[in-house]
Amino acid sequence: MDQRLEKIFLTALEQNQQKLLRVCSVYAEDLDNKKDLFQEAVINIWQSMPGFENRSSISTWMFRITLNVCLRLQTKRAKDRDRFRKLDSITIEHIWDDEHSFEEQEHLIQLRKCILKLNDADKAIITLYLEELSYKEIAEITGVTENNVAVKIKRIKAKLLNCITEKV
Amino acid sequence: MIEEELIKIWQSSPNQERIKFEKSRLMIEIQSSVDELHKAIKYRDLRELIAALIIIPIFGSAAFAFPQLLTKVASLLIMGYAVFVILWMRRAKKQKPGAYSESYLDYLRQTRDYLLIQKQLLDSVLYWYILPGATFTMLFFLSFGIEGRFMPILNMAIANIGLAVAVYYLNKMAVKKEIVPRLSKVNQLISSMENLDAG
Repeated sequence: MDQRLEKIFLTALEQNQQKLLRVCSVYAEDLDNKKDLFQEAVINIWQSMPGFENRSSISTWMFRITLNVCLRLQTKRAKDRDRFRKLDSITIEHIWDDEHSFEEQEHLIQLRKCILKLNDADKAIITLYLEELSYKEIAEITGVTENNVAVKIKRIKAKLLNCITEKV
Repeated sequence: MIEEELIKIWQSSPNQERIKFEKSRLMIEIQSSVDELHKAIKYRDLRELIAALIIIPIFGSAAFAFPQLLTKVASLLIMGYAVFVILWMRRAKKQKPGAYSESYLDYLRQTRDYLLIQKQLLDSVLYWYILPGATFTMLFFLSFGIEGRFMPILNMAIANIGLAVAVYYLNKMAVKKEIVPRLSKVNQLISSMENLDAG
């Protein structure tokens, strides 16, 4: 594959890696599984690069593939779910966060727990919303109409706020 | 807690996990992973081709070598059957959803169609796979005459029936344990995406 595509891919990956990892975190059972999902998404993004047309931004397009990789596992056969391709060149480091207060970190844990309680479709929509994608982009990625996205987001937010308030 | 706070909390996670990758090594690894996948698909197609390539010359030479008309007919039927089974299964596989760049709802709909085709294929396995296969094989063995060969033919018939029953029940089990639960999960996801009340 040509150098130009490789450059676009690597630049876009560098810019969006944390966002994509956050999307994976919603569907992963543990840290290893999160890394597996992320790696699988990276491979699929590269594999789909020749088909990338500039109709949407590359980051929206990367979200779409990542989300599809994570969501598709939910409908795969159990024995196919563990077949991940490994990339040793990617590592995920855990670092001590002293920029954020204990309270803020607690909130993040609660938010993740509340998102995990949602169904797969709602998880997808709210994750994209939290990544600040527009309704139009969320509609493009999920295939749901823009109006439905707006209504769903309103309902999911209410659910989340309710869940977090209960826990905090 | 207000919405902006939700977004802020959500996006604060990079402070706890950081991804590192070596660009050059990553590209080599990804490309080799993609190549491996292509190789696996190539081998799968090759396996099917080899199965046909084994059956066709064996029964082709039987049709040519044995003088009995029934042997020739049975051999031709088995050869035609082998080609039909491979083409039939390939046709079903072609419906498999592929591109990850489609919308998720489109993928779910394609998966539902694919699973319905698979279910139909496995539900009807008796008619397009088991019965023709067992009949043509029996016809081939009977074509050499029954006289003095009663026991071998009886054993062959028993083995044939046993195999047919096993294949039938394995397929029924695959439908019940794999296809139906996946289909129900996919239908559930489609309705939760399409139907506002489900959300």
